[in-house]
Amino acid sequence: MKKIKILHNRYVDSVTLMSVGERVVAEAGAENAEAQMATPANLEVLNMLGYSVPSSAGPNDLVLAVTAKDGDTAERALQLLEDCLNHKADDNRVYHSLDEIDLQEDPYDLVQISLPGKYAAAEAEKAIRKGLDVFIFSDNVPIEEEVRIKKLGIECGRLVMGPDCGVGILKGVALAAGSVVRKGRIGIIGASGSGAQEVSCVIERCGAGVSSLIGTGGRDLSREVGGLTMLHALEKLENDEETDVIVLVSKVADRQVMEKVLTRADGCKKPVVAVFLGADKEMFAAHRVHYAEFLADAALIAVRLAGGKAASIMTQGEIDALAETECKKYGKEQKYLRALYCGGTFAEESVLYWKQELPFVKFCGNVPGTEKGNADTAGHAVLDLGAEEYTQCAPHPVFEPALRNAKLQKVLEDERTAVAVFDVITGPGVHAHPADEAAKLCREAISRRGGKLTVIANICGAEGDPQNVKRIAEELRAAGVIVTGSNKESACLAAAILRRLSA
Amino acid sequence: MNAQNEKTCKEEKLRVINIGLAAFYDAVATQGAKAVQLDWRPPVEPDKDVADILDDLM
Repeated sequence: MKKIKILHNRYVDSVTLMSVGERVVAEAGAENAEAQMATPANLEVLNMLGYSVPSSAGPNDLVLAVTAKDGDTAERALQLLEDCLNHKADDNRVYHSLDEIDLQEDPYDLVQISLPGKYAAAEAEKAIRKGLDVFIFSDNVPIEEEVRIKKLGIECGRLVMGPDCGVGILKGVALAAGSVVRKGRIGIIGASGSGAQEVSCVIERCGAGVSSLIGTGGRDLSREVGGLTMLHALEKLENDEETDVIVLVSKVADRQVMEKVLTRADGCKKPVVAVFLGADKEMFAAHRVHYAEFLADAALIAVRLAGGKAASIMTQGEIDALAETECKKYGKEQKYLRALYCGGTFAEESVLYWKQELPFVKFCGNVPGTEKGNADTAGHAVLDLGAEEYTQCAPHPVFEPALRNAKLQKVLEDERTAVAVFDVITGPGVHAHPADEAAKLCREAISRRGGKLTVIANICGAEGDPQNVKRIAEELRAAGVIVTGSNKESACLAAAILRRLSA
Repeated sequence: MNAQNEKTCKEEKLRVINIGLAAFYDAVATQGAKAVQLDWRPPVEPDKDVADILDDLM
């Protein structure tokens, strides 16, 4: 028996919707349970599953659909589906809008927004006007709206993190996909989510900690936005008693805006380290800011400036020795490097490093510095699996690593692969078991190929993350994977191998 | 830790209203932060026929 219920004008995000179906099947004994927004694509899927959804359902409506052996079970499953999607406050109240919360009686500091882009700015504006900081994970927010709400935030003295802000740490709480990094004296301002997260996690690995991580969103240093949030955050951290050293993290951005930020940082009363991945080093010559070329370098410099001791996990000598050993294993057909990343900035950082170290080597992939082509069948390949071309039809791999695992399996099975590189990202907001399947695939492939395969992984995570980064590292090592201390170390080792293979 | 210290620590944590991905609400709540999830609804967009009639009337 099939039953359907339409909840009109009701929005639930796709990640939540995907998780409730399985739970209802298990707990209510239904044969199938689906909860989908009634978009044309979802209606087609529901139709293929045999559900007849009334034509009145539109993209703002939520469809609950179940198949069960009898009417009672179907009713119970529908009810459970609905219950799973209802969130109640501690006092059992359900709030539908910010206006319903009495902030005098029940105070909050920040609103975290991950709605579809077209709705995000309006909610952010409401929050700012109520005296709250905002963290906007949503992308596809029009850039003129971003400028408008950031200017409003500055006017009202509120922080506006995002849109398209992946990570943050405020008052010891990790936001969105961020990691629970140890508390310390280094403040980070990041226009690149995975980049800022990597800096925070390497800082922790060196024994230091982070006071705040303020994300700005990926477009903050564009000509249009002009670094509004980065400049505002710099002022906040300059006056923050818990911060001694500040790190600025971005990919290469608008030259004038980068110059403006560096000039402001020159006048900062605290030491500032800046890593603008891919930016011209010459630009930094006229500034007092401490220049870092790569993410891990920025973390090490900041730790030293904060009075700590910092060193890479592996020295260049150890990397060269390891590369020498690995190269002796390969058969004649094994020539290629295949790198698969969940963190887009990791893909870009690695390509920057490889193009610099191995300018004669060509890479196929979907990040700057690579050539377009079929990365599955190409020679050396680098893929950012969080790029829009993949996330349009599947969740981002940090939330659901199935796509990464499928690609990894292909790469590991390809007889021409010599070196496979991947990243593991942890944190309370991302997948609970991000490396279990990957470790299994690596163990099987390395064993099947008699050990003649190099697999390198970096874990971008902190000890406070619920996934247990130490256990992940142990499991990957037990599977035969070389676990490095940073994305840069992974790139260094891969380059050392590739240099020998290309000689 | 005494009750006063516990209260101070709890008060120092960020207090978050989450709108959207429920996983982000869970992530913040499991870190011990005060958090609430809004059961957000999209604003009602006027039916196109009704909007056309209103346009004609204006």
